[in-house]
Order: sequence, then structure tokens, then C-alpha cells
Amino acid sequence: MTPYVSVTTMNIGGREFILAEVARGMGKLGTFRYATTTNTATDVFFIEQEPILNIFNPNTANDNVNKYIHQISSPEKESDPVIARFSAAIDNYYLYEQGLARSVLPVLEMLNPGLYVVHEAQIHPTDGAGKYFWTAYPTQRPVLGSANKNAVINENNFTPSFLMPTRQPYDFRSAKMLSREEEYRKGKPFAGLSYHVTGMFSALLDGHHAATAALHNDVSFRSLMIEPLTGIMYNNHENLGLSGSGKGASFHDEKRKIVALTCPFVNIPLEELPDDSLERFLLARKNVKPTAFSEIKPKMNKLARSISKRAIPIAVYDKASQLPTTNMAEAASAVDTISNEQLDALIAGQVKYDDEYIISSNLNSSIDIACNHLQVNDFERFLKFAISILQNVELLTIHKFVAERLFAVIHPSIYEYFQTCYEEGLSKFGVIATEFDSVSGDNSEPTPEENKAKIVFEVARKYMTKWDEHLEKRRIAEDSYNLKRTKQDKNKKKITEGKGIATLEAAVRGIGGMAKKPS
Amino acid sequence: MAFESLPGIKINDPAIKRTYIVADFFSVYENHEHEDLESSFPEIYQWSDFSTIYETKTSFVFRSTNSNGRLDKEFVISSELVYDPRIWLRIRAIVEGAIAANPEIEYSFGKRVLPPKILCSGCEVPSEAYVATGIYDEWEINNSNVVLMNPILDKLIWMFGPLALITAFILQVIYFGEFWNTSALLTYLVISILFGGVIGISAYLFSAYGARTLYKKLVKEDPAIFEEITFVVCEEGFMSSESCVYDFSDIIQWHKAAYFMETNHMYIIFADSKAIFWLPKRLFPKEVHQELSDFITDRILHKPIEKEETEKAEKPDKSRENSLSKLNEEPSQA
Repeated sequence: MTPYVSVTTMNIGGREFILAEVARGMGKLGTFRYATTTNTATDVFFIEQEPILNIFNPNTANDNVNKYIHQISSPEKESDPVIARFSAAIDNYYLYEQGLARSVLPVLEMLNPGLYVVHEAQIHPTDGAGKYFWTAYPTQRPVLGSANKNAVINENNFTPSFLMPTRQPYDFRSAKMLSREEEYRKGKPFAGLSYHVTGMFSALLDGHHAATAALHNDVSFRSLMIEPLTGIMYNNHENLGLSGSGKGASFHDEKRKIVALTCPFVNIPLEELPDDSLERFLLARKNVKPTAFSEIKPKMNKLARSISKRAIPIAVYDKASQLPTTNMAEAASAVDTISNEQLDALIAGQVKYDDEYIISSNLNSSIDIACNHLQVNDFERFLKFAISILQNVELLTIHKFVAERLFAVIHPSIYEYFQTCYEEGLSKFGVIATEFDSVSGDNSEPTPEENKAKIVFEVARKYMTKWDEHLEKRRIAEDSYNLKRTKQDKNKKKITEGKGIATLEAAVRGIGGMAKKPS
Repeated sequence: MAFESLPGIKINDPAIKRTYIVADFFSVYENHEHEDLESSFPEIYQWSDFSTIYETKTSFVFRSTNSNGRLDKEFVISSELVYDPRIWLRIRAIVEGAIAANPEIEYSFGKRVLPPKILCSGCEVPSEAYVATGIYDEWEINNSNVVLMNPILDKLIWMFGPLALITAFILQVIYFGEFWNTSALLTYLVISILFGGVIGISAYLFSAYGARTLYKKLVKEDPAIFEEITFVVCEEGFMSSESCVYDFSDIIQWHKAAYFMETNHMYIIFADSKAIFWLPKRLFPKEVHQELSDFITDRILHKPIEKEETEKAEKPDKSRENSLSKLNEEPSQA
């Protein structure tokens, strides 16, 4: 049966994407329900004949419960043509600029029948809790932000930007990462292809080495993202992101009815759907068992292979811990935008702007959410906002929280700020001042300025130490990385000189003593 | 949810110009012409939107109530709208699979020989399982129905004849006297034997008629009776389902079984005093019969306790423990 996919480019509420209608798909990629009990369900994400991820829902009655996720396997060598389709999609979009629809079409053909939203976004190669994604799922554990619904985000849209791997950590090759870095220097961005699986998480179909290289080089990682359109929205939700004006009226009808189809990225009102799509959505079933089920089933209890000796650079783990977490992403998605005027009002200790609550009636919570929102979406504004908060002595109660938020991020600008605070503090409190109670020397109540200086000084002092440690770690990591690279270059040179026909790939294989003898 | 791999179904009702789609959602297109659904928007219902669903002899009725508990919407899908009984069975499997995930929906259905799929859980049948396919035989079902009507009566039905014979003889002696007269005695005896014979045969005919009536009712209400059925008994549970909708992904777990009965022709498993699983013995070789019977008995006796029952299990009932241990000692009696 020839696959049939039709594609429509759409823009709803400023979100550009393509809506793919898979009528006859190959069913070689997706999730299916493996087992259920009265209250639990086990879903499996699979590629061809391999079960990749096990997603256990401990309470199907509650959509806000996080799931337990672990990695099972990865595509076998036999399915390399599949990986080739993924790689081709990435190259066609990011390198040859062939357009989203044309690039992902061969991948869409592999899906089950149904509707899919495809878009492009920046994503974070972590598990949403600061762990590097590729090694984060060896055993079953609850994963924050993996619930079907999120109480903070509610019905707002978001990008499921945290990752789960589809290749095993064992598959990491430093040579491949170096090759991605080379490509980046020649103009190809670090990019991948991902498929939304659950909550804020997507499975990275291809681009594991690129994601690692992006982290290593402090560069953002982008991905083509496929999201199955499986959710529904009732008319009692106003946040439909409609582009037109008059259509919203129908949402306030007394009668409760379904008015839009949803996926994390976008809600598509029924009126906006192309002809025939809705019927296809209604007829499609979410948890269809794949045709290769009999091959997948025996592999379900397979253990993921442990990490290789070709260790992933330590700096990558370190940098992953700096990336936004699911909590931040939740807060970022809970608020659409925050203007500079609104931020100024928050800095001044106001919770309202133009007689409307900026975020909520609680100032501390509003500042927390604003910090999260800015840290995910606009780092420069986050820095300015956080530093401004620390300069307002009236917001003393939240100073420690904001200072610690800054402390968690390694960034030269933050270092500069804390260095200034540290030097000021030194001049005020002395070199050996560690216990503030003994610093002032008298028993009089400290002024708010003093309190502020003390709180920030304490954090700044720790940051100085952390910064030094960070630089040292980085130096060691860079040294080992450069050493490895030099070795590889030498090896490559040797092979090239010796045989005259070896390719870069062969040279890379040569490191492990596995280079093919040229005939 | 169970039976999640079955494709969704579109059903047209030309009389009221309505189209239904039964799948992960229940959707209704109103006032459409022909099969062109592009021009109209459907009303889409989640299964949990329905408060009551029931299956009659000829239709499925879906009812939703509003916040005041009053009837809000009612949809009826008649079996006449479906040309193939297998499509009807697919609709039934999808609906019951959805109800399995939404147990708050009130559900009622007619006489069945197969278990309602609302009892199913999604669980892969393991590679080691007793599996058979076949079509039910009317005689097997009737015979088992007689047993089910009154298990004691089935064992004693042959005694109706002799009892009637003795009663007739005594009554004649009391009424007419002259029991010393040999010819009279012979006459009484002949009449008594004839009477006993008539009563005995009538009792058999009556029970057969009762069973036949039950079967006819079953035939009218359950199209699955003529379908090929797949039977599964395994460690995790048991299942009998129409082969046309079954893909070995759903079973009824053992904790839902209450007890088990073995007749001459069937293994019958009960849940809440209703027979839900009828497995014809003829589908298995004779040497497996005892093994299968022991396996089912063992699984029902040692069925895993469900979560809801865990609290009860904290305070073990000694009398139950004793009776179970006795049963374990004497499996043949169990």
C-alpha cells in the first residue's frame, strides 16, 4: 500500500506550522499501548521493530501524574534506511533549505494514519531536570513534566522541548561529535528531528551527536518537531489562539462542546481544519498496535546497553545542568509575554499594571514566574530583571531567591555582577567576614541596605568559588578534548599519508584499530 | 481502554440524515446529505460524556445527562444500519472497550455467550497459553444451560420417572384397593410404569425446551453465537472473543473470576454469579482436559488480589484461609 500524506501550511495565533494528514501511513514509528490495568497503562515508543522507550503511567485516572520512563533499545543496523530518512529530513531543511513540508514528507510516510503538526523550534537536550538527555533514562523513574496535562500551563500552548534519546548511550562516538562540529563551522546548524511522546518530552529521532556538540559549544540546538494531534479542547477555554476575531463568540455558548483539536504546540479550531481532516482524525485511533508487534514484543524486557567507554565530554553534563528545567518551561508557557513596562512594575514591587494583574496577586510568585519566563525566552532580559530586583531594597524578602537563581547559572555577566557585589562586600564587611551576625560589630538593627548587601555578598562569595571551579573543570575538559582531537588528526594524517585513499570516516574508525584494510 | 487497535467505524442513518463515527471519540454529524461530511461540523463526545449506554436486541443507545441529571442527548445506532454483523461486533467491541476505561458509565446488555468486553484489560497474551478457535455448538450450549438452570436437577432428573412410578402405584392401591388380586396388581404396575415413563420423558423434554428457549434468546440477542470464537486461557487471565475483532491484546484478569464449573462439554467461569466464559472441551484433545481444568482451578484459587482488595487483605479472614487450604488439599473436590 503506497503511503499517502497531504500537507497544509497554517498559521494560527502567530504560530507557523504544517498540518500533515497521514491517510495511509506505514506505521513504522510512533507510540502504542502495550498493557493496561484498571488504573495503569504502559505505552511504548517504537521505531520499526525496536521498542525504544517504555512509558508507564501509574494513574490513568489522573492526567496530572508524571510518568515513569526508561530506555529499552535503539534502532538496529537493519533499520539504517530509517535513520537515513531522518538524517535526510534534517539536511534537506537546515542545509538545502527545501522547506518544512518537503523535508519531512519521507518521515511522515512512516507514521500511523492520523493528523500531525510539524514545526521547527529550539529545544533543550536535557531531561528537564538538568541531566544530559542521552544518559538520563537508563532505569525506570518518574520524570518531571511528563504528565499528560500540566496544572501550571493548563491549556496554554508550549513547545515540548525536553528530550528523550532513541539511540543508546553506547552509540556515542566522539569522532561523530567532532564531525558535527566541523559541519557547524562550515555553516550547518546543530539540528535534529524529534517526535512528541508525552508532556513536555519529545523523542530525538536523529541528531544525538549534534545535540551533544551544541551543548559542548554553548550553542542553541534546533529541531524539526512532529507532534501527533490527538487532544481535544472544549468551548469553555478561551485560549484558542485564534487568528480571526469573530470566531471566539461561539466558545461562550452555554453548551459544552469540543471546538478544537490540540497538541502542545497549537490548538486548531475545528473551523480551521482542512476538508476531510476532521473525519480522518475522528476515525483514527491513538493506540494502534504496530504491524511489527510480534517482533517488538520479545524485545520489551531487553535492558538498555550501558554507557560506552568512549565517555561523553564532562563539560556536556556540566552545561546540561545550566539549561532551563521543566519548572521554568512551565512558568514560561503559563505567561504569553511580559512587556518591559510590566517588568518595571514588578521591580517596583507592584503586582498590577494598567489595573490588571501582571501575573498573579502574589508578588513573590509573580517574580518567580517572570524569572522563569525570561530565563527560558530572553536571557538578557532575565539578567537585567534579576539584577534590578536585587537592587531594590524593598524586595528584600525575595532577594535570596533571586540571588540563588542567578547563582545556578554560569555566565560571564553574572560573574561580573557578583564580582562587583563581592568587592563591595569585602570593603564593607572585611576579608574574613563569613558570619554576618559578627560583622557589624554592634547590636543595632541592620539597615535594609546592609541586609541586602549581606544576602548578595554571601551568594557572590560562593559564586566566586563556583566560577573558579567551573574554569578549572572547563580547562581540564578542553585539554582532554584537544588531546583527543590532536590524536585523531595525527591518526588521520598517518592513514592518509600511508595509504592515500582513506576517508575521514575510515580514519575515525582507525582510532580503535578497526580501519578496513584498503584492497 | 481495551480493543484499541480496532479501526474506527462510520455509520450513516439516512432516515434522520445523521452520521455517527465510533472510535476514540463518539461523533455525530447532523443533517448531512449522503456521505459528504465536509460541509458540516460534528458534535464530538468523549466517552465519559455519556452517563448510560445500553445494548438492546437491535440497537445501541447512548445517553448523556446534564448537570441536573436530566436527559440531555440520546443517540440510537440500530443494527439495521450495519450490513455486516461483524461490523456490529466491532462497534460493540469499541464501545465496550471505551466503557472499560470509563467504569462510571452505566452499561447494560442482553443475553450473551461471550464475556462483556468491559471486563477486559489491555494485556498481551503470553506465548505459553491455551488457545483455541471454534464455533459454538447449539447442543453444547443447551446442555450446559440445563446444567446452569439447576445443577442439582441435572443430576437427579432421571429420578423423576421412578418417583412418578412409585407415587402412581401407591395412589392406585389406596384408591382402588384389591392389591391381593394379581391381575389388578399387574394392571396397577403397568399403568404406573407408563405414567412414570411419561413423567420422566416430560421432565427431560421440559428441561430441553427451557434450554432451547434460552438458546433462541441468545441467538436473537447475540450475533457472536455464529461467529468463529477465539478462546484463550493463560497465566494472566482468560478470554473468549469473536476472532474478527480479537488480536490477543486484551484479556480478563483472573481476579475478576468468582468460581469455575466443569460440565460434560464445557468449562464455565463465573463472575458475580453470571457465567461469562464458556469454553467447549471438544476444542482441546482429551489428554489436556484434566490439565486445563486443574490450571483454571489453580488460577482461580490463587488469583492475584486487586488493589481495592489490598486493604481487606491486611486483616486476613481465618475461616476463608481454612477453606482455601482445604481446597488446596483436595483439588479434585474443588
